Amino acid sequence: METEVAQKLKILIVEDDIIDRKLLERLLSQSALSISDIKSADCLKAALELLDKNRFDVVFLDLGLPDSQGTDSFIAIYGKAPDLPIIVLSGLDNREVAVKAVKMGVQDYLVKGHIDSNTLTRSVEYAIERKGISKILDEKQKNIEAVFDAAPIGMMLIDEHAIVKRVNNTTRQLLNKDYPQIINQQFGDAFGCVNAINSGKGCGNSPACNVCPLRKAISTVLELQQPVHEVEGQLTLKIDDKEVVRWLLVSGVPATIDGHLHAVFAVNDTTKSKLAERERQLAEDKYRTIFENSAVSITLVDEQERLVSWNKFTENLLGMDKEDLYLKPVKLLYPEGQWQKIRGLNIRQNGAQRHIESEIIKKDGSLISVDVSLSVLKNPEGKVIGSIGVVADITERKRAEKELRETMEAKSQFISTVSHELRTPLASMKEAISIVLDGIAGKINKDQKRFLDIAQRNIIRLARLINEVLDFQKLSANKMKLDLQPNDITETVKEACHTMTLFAEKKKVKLSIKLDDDLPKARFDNDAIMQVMTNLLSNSIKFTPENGAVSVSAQHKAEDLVIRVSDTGMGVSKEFLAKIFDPFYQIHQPGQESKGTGLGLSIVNKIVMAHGGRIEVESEVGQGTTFSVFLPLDGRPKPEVLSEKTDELLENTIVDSQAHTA
Amino acid sequence: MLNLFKSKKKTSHAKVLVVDDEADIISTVQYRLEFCEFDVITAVNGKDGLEKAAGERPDLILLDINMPIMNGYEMLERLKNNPELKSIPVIVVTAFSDARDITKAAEFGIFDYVTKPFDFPKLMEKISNALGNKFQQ
Repeated sequence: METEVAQKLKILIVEDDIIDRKLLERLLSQSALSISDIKSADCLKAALELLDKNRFDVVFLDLGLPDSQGTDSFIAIYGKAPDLPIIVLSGLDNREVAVKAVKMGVQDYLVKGHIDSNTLTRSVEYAIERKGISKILDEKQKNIEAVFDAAPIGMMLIDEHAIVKRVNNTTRQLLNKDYPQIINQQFGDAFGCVNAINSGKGCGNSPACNVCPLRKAISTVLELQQPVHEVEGQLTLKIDDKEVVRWLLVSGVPATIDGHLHAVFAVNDTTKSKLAERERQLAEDKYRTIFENSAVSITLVDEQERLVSWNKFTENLLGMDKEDLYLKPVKLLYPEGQWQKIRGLNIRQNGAQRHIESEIIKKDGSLISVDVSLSVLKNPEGKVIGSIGVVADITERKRAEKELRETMEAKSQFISTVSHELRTPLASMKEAISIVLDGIAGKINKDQKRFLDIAQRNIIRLARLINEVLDFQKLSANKMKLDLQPNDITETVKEACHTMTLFAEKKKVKLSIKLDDDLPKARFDNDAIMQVMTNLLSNSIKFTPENGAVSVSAQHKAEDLVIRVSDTGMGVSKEFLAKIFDPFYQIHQPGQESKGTGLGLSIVNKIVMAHGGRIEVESEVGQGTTFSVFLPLDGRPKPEVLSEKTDELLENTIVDSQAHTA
Repeated sequence: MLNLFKSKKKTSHAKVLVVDDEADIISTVQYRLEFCEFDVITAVNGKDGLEKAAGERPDLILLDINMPIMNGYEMLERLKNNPELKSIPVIVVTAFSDARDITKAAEFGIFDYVTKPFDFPKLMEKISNALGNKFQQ
């Protein structure tokens, strides 16, 4: 300040009384002040014009001007030059006004007639210095206010009557209101609390206000004058005419401002995190409900493989309670051998979820069959911190499976037995009729022969049907063992065609063979593939009208032998084609009675599949049908397939019989 | 049907033991074999069959498996354990077509098998093979 005073001062005197003005000028010139310039104005208007054009270091202001009176003069000057120190000149009669002006920001006042050069010097120096200090204080105040306003946390100042006196920008933004809508209202009204609005009497007057934690926090600070720390409350606020739920976390302290008790609050909008937390909680509740109410046992095992958490079902399953289970080494729940198998899965190393069927020991020592599903449990850093086991009681399933197996076995046994029992009388019948037909028991006439032929033919058909049922049952039960040997498909196809020659001739169907040269040997069961070929051939011949043709071809393609049986028969519609390999499926042709079991093609398909091959069929109604058998060179039998030699009778008699349908 | 076995052209004095509990099977097979000039002895179960085999020393046995009192397997086992009888060739004639049953019989040593209902010419072929030069057409 001193430096400023040390400079040469420019002074403005606003005084309408010329004598007073001259007196002041003289006193100034006699003072210790270093003055460069003194300008005078005799009215406010002139003063304001001078202030527009010049910079002054201090102003002497008479409060009683012709165009302005009292503090208005000061306010006008202050408005024009807020940084300019003002010394008011007053008469004895308006001293009170001068004191009021000082309170409003005037640096000093001098009473006319009581001024000497020393007083003047001191007054000017103090005025300049005070104005300087005041300016610094103002700036500091502004800084503090700027910090308050810019603080990224909501700030709120409440007076002793719980009236909001000030909020910062963050709070304003939170409420999406302008300052005038917030200031000088009760807390709840300022915030637009729906309870405050609906009560009609403002914040604090709704029944809900009695339990409002924020209201209580304000009371604590203002009435008990105690700080509150992180009080959270949920308010429904009306923001932009919409009711929105906000979670507010407030901390407050009592503070004396301008000699009055206030409360300073930090207001944090925790709605987002609260909602996120609630969602987490909901999710957690959801999973906990699933966990607790699951009809499977769910267990959580720590790093030391001890049980740390489990659901109710676990206790029911094992017949154990919390004391039995807490920190129980999980291996004690399994028989030794079973535990080794579970350890063998090594899920902590292998990571992925694993399934195993096992047994588990109940509290009473009994064992139950279970399906165990294990997964590792990792912390967010990826470190294994335990594992989760889901254990399902499969005792009932096991029992049902066993029952089903037994039923299937019994059914299979029944079919087998019945079929065998049928064969014996059939053998006697066939032999007896053969003896007569052969003429061994005496000469028979033409008609006798005709009818015995019919009997003979139907016995053979019946025998074949029994064989098919047996074959099908064995293939279905995976009990047919294939005798896979390197075989020459050429031989097999030729032999099959040979056995079909008579049937083809009888039907007046041309049977031709076209086999590629040098076909490689393939591993297959000769009898079984023979059965496939004779079945396919008899089928084709049967469905081919007189003068039609059936051709057989064989080729080597990649890893397969492809054997095709094509006919120029009536063909099969798409609708039937899809079901052609289904067991017991028969195509009923007009005027033709069903003469088979409907198992032939199903057996063919199963035999080919048992070799690891496949069969395809293409057909055009009225044009013909082609069956393509893809037989792998290196036949891969299905495991557990047991074998049977194809019944010789079938091979020998199929020519005689009316070939069965698809 | 082949004409080979329709007439009485063949002569043989081979002795065949037919063991089967089915009287009708025995009747028809016996009729056929006798027509082909075999000497035919019959037995209705394994026990009976063993006794007939020991007493009559047949050249060939046609053996059913599923029989009361003593089944075909047991008879086979005893037969093959008897040094005097074990060289008699056996053809199993059974309704058991399951390979495992045949394998079981084969373990005791059988010459061949046919399944019921059989074709007589096929059976004759096997009989012929079993008897070798004892059977002359």
